[in-house]
Amino acid sequence: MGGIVFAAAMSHAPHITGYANHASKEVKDRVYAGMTEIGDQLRQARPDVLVVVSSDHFHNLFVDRMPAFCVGVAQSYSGPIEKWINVDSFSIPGAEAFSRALVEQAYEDGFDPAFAENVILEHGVVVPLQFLAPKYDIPLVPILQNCMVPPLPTLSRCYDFGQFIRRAAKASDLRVAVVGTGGLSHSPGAPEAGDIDREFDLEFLGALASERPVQVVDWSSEKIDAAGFGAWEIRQWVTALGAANGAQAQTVYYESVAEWETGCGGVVFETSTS
Amino acid sequence: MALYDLQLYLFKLKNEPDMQAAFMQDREGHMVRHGLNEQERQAMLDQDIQALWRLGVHPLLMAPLGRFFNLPPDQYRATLRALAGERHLRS
Repeated sequence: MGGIVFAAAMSHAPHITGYANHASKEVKDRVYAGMTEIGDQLRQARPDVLVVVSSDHFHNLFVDRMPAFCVGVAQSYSGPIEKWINVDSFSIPGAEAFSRALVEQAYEDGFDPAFAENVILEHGVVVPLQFLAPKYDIPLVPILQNCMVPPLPTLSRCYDFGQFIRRAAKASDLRVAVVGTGGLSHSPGAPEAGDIDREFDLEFLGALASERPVQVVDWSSEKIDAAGFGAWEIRQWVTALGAANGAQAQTVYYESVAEWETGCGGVVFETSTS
Repeated sequence: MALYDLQLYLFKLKNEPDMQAAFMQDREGHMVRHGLNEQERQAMLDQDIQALWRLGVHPLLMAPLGRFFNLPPDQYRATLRALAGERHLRS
C-alpha cells in the first residue's frame, strides 16, 4: 500500500544557486547544509515518486490561460530554462502513470487541475532538486500553483489539494514524497526587492512548528501581502502541509539573506505516524 | 497597447531566444512590428525600468529584463527603490 512517506517545504530563490557567493560564506553554508539535510531525509524515506509543488514564474504559464493548479504528466522533464542560475542542463524521468492517475482521481474528487505534457523546469523546481535528487534519479511530478497573478487559489484550497494528493498516494502502491517550494518573504523584481520580513517568516515557521500548524490557513491576504508578493508562495508550504495531514513541522533552517533578496527557510513535516 | 499585450510581448522576449535575437538586431523595428506604442518603445529603448514599472508591468517580467539589459542586481534594486510603495502588489 502506498502513501506519503515524506513531506517538506523549502525556499527556491534562483539566487541560491545563481548568485550563491553573493551571500557570506557562513550564511550560504548554513542554507546549503539545511537544504542538504532535507534532501538526505527525503532519500532516507526511499520515495518512488517525488511531487514538487511550485509556482511558475512566467516560463510555462501566462495570463492567456492561467490555471490555479497544473499537473505535469510528461514521461520526462528537462531544465533549467534559466541559464543564469548556474545549474547544468539535465533531464529527469517523470512519474507519468502516477501523474495521470492523479489528474483522473482529482476530477473524481472535486478538483479540476489543468495538466501539461510539456513543462520546462525552472528554478522553482530546479533549485530544490539540486538537494532533493541531485542525481535526478527519482521520478518527478511537478505541480504548478498560481502564485503570480491574482486571483490566487486560497490557502484552504491549497491545503485541501494537499489532502487530495495524500488520498491519491494512499490509493496507489507508491511511496510518495511531497515538497512545496517558494517563499518566504520577498519581492523579486519589485521596488521592494531586497526587503525581507524576518518577523513574518519566523511567525510562519513558528506556526508550522506549533501544535496546530493548520492555523496558517486562516492567515489573511493583507498579512501575507505585507511580506511582499513573493510570500504568496507560502501556498506551496500549505499544500505540503495538507499532504502531511496537517502534521507538525520541524524547522531545519532559516536565514534572511539580503543578497538573495529572500527569507530562506526549510521545514520537514512529521510523517512517521501518518 | 493594452497592458496584457505589452506583458505578452515581454513574456515571449523572456522565453524565446529567437525573439531576443530579433529584438537585439533591430529594437525599434521589432517593437513597432509587435504593436508597442511610443511610450512603451521609449521605455524599452532607454532601458527605463522605472517607466516600465509605472506602466504596470509585473515584477517577474521586469527582473529578466534587468538581466537582459545587463543591469547589475544592485543597480536594478537601487533604480527601482525610489518607487517603493507606489504600486504595492495585493492578492
